[in-house]
Amino acid sequence: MALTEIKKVADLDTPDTDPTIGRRRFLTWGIYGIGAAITAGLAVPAIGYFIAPAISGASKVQAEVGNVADFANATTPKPVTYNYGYTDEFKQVNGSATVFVHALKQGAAKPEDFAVLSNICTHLGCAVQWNGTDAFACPCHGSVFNADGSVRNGPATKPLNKYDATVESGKLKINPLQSFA
Amino acid sequence: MATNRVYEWVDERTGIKPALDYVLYRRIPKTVDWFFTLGSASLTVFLIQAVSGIFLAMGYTPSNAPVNIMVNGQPFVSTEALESVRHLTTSVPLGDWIRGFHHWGANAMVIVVLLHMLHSFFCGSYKYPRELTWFVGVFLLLFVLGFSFTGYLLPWDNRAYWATQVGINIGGSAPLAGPIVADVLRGGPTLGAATLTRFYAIHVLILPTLMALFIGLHLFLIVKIGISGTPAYKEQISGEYFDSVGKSSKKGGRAFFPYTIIEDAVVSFVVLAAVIALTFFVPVGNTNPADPNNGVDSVSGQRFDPKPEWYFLFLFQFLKVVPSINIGPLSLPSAAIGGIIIPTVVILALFLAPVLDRSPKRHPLNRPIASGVMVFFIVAIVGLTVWAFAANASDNIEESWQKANIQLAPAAVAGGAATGAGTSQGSSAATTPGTGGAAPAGGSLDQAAVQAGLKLFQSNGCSGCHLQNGNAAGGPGPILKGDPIAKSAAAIKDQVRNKAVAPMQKYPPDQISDADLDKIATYLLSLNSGGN
Repeated sequence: MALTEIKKVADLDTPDTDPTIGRRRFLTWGIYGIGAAITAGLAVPAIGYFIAPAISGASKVQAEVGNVADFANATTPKPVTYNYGYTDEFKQVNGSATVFVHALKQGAAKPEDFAVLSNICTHLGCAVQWNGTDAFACPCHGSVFNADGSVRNGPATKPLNKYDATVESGKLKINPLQSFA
Repeated sequence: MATNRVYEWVDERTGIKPALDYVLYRRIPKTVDWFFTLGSASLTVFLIQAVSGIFLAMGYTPSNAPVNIMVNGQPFVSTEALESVRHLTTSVPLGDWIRGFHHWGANAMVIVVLLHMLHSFFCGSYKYPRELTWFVGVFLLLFVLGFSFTGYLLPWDNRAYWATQVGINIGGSAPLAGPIVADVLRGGPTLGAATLTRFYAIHVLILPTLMALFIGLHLFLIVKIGISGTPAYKEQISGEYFDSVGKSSKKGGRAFFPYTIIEDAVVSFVVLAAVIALTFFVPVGNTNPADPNNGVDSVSGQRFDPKPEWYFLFLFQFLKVVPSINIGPLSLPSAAIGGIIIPTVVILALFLAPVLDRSPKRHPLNRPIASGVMVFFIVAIVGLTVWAFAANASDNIEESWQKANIQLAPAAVAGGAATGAGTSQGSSAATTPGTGGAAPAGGSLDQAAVQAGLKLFQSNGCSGCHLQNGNAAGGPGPILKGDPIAKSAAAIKDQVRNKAVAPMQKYPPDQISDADLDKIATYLLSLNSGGN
């Protein structure tokens, strides 16, 4: 088909003053509109699905760290490996994790008497190690923390995170999935 | 010729001949030398990755669901992801080749793509009229880094887990949007099942699609505009498109086919040969199962010091040394500066090279600022990498202690005082309770005989092929846990004495006595009498 014929069929040679120009413009905008609607219909649920994890909060999981009595006089941080289980998506995942339990006074018994420090470095998330006396060090980028969790040496800038502990029938409990962001 | 008639048949219906002629017989400037093969070498590596990746996907399971394994007779929990990778590497015929291709191909990709970028930069190839080719190329470079990052997690071993933990936290340290970015990448507040499936989808669906589209665009632009060629010292681009393209590129050159493409083919072949050689001589292994929460390798009991792949070591080292900034109300932690702000500025500057450097000069010595900046970055990145390697030679965490002037209690030095896992025995004791019912199997079997059998299994060399415990994947022999033969003492003995086929040999009584074989059988039965 020659170009002139195509133009004729598509009304492209019609002058702008022609009343049918309104129809052409309407159809053009119609195409844009339908295209936008299709895009939005696909993109809105897809993007929503993708970013939803940022909106939903941490799962509520309880794990038993140990007997309160065992930590009552732990005036230096005591490393504790405890077990937990939770449903990750649809799977039961059992694991163990380490926290450092620190009694803030002799004979500690109430949740607020304890500092339960996370072993996850506040710099970029590697697992810190306790030197047995007064400090934690991270094996990744070299951050060092004092026994109370405060930063002794960078690059970390925030102290080690503290879990919100609870005490139930003589057991110290935390949520191992607690979010500190 | 039949092929000619087929070609004519297709051409009549598609008009492909003029297009193919245009591509194949276009003129390539005489100044195009061997360095210009780096682009096609990148394409070849991409094809290696695509092919090996497709076949890896047939054997891989993106799931962190627990799998019970035995290592040295001790039960441990691994994951479907790691065990599927180990299985396809060690037990599936040619699986180690496919895995090796993908692993070494990934290394080759980073090297070849970076060299290609540097060559284009120093030749001033990003200048008019090839700015768009450059923009697309920088995106391709970012996609390659995205592939590295997302692919690294998939085996879900210790190394993978910690590299991803750090990588996502780097994203999370970004000012303002950081926490959202981290949650979206992880698919939730903790690294877990959703992270693995997200990374898998990004690695095998999203990135390959984008990569293929952008490679197509890159190639289209190269054919359309022509190759820049090595600049002469005084060479300048002209404002007129056809001056720059017409003179240097379209006229007076040699035909792409066969004069240029033969060089591309040779270099691509060399790259493939290198990948094959590495696959053959350097098998790809895994570290032990990811043990997310203790920072201790659950199997060896040693503290696990996370370190990234060599091409990210410069960033690892940089993150150690970059300071935080606290000026008045402005407070930026070092992770945000070193992991987000500086890399973003650098990549933006690289992307905008055609905008920032608008002089018509192309020769690197004629562009001292652009060349100087790039040389500075090369020196800095190579320097940081060398520094990281030197630091890794000593123990990473020792360095932290020393820097802070801290004396160690003896137990901590053993690697894992924090978990009470100073020895491998201690470690298994610490982690076994969390394994969800992976107790050693076989209540009715004589445990002393099982242990004796395990020792004989190792001392007689069985464990050379069936690994130490006949249970975990990793050697050329089948996994004996779940193996039908390993479920009957008589069948086991018959197999060892009479029915073994190469590469396994038959073992007569003068090599393994009847009494010893009984114990080995008892040990193997113990693997198979468990509840799973």
